[in-house]
Amino acid sequence: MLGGRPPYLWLRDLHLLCGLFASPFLLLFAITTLLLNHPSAPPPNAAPGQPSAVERSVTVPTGLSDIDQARQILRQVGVTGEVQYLGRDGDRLEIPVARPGERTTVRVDLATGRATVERRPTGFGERLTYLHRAPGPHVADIRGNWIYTRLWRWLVDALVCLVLLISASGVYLWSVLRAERRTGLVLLGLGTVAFAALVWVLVR
Amino acid sequence: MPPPWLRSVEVWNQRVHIWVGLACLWFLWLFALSGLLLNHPRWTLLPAWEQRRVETRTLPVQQVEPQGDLQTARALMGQLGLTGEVGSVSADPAADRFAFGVSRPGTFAEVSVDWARRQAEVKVTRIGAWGALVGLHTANGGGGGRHLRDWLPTTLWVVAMDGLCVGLFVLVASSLLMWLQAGRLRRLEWAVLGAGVLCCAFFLWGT
Repeated sequence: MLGGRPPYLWLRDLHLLCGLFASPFLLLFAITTLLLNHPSAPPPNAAPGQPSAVERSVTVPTGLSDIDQARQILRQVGVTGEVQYLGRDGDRLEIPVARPGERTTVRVDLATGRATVERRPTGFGERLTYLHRAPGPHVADIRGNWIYTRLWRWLVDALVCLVLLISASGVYLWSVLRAERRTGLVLLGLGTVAFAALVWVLVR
Repeated sequence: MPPPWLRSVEVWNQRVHIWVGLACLWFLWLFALSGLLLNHPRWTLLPAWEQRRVETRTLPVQQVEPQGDLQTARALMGQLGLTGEVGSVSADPAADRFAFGVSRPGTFAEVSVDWARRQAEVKVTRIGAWGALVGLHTANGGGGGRHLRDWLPTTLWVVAMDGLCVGLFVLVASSLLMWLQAGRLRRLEWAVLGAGVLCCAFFLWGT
C-alpha cells in the first residue's frame, strides 16, 4: 500500500497522468510517421510559400569556431533556427537553417561581408515532420546549436521515458485483470511473433 | 447508474485499449528506444560506425537483359546473393559501368559492375546490432532520390509502422474516452493534458 492506496490505484493514476501529457506528442509522431512513410500523398496545407531573398551586409567575426561564426552571422541578419550544416567553398559560406515552418539559406561572401538571405516558408506537414526528425543523428558535431533544438531533444528524451513507463504500467494494470488475461496473452503473443518475424527478415 | 449501452461502450473501449496496447508493445518499445539512440548518435551509432566491418569482394557477373535500372540492379543482386532495398543507381554506358547501393537495417552494400570484364566489386559494410536497431527506425524504403519501396520486407515493415500509428490513434482516443467516462476529471489531470498540448503547440508555432 502506498499512502493507503493499493499499488493498482496509484499505478493507474500514474499511467493516466503520463498518458495525458504524452498523448499530443504520440499523435504528432504517429501523424508524421504516416506522412514520412507516404510522401507521395500531399500533406494538409502543403502549399509552401514563395521564397524571398534579401541582401544584407554583415561583419564577419574572426577567431571563432565555424558554428559560432555562423551563429553570429545569423544573429546579424535576423535568422533563427537550427544550422543544418556548414558549406564552405573558398570565401563563400553557405548556412542552411531550419525551424518548424521555415527553411532559410544564408550565403555569405566572407571577403566582402555581403550576405544573401533566402527564406522559404514550409507547409503544415513539413512543420510537423521537422519536429519528428529533430534533432536527428546527422552532423552530430554541430547538432543542437539552437536552444530550442536542445530543449526539444530533452523533451523527446523525457517522452521516451514516459512511453516506457506508460507501457510498463499498462502491462501491470492488464495483468491484474483476470478477465482479460487470456485474450491479452494471445494478442501479446501474436504481436511478439509478428515483430520477431519482421525484424529477423529485415536484419538477418 | 449508466445505461447498459454506455456500460458496454466502457467495457469494450477498455478492452480495445488493452488489446491494441499489448499487440503494439514490442513495436512501440523499438521505435521509442531507436528514436532515443538516433537523437544521441554518440551513445551507440557513432561507435558502431567506427567499429563497422567492411568486406570487399570481386565476383563474376553475367550480362543482364536491357531493362530499367532498378530491374538491372535486382537481377544483379540475385546473381551476387544480395538482398535489401535498392538505393542510388547510376549507369555509365560510355564506360560500360553500372553501380548501385543496397541497404537493409545495419548493412549497406555498394556494387560497381564492369560489364566489359563481366565482374562486380561488392563492398559490404556491417554496423552491428545497434546500427540494425537504429536502421529499423528509418527503414521505409525512402532515400536514394526515389520514394519507392522495392523490397517486400520493407513494405511489410511499413505496414507494421502504419499499424502502430493507427494503434497510437486508438490508444489515445480510447484513453481519453476512459478518462472522460471515469467522471473524476480532476484539475491536475486537466493541467497535465493542457501542459502536453501547450508544449507541443509551442514547439510547432512558438519557436
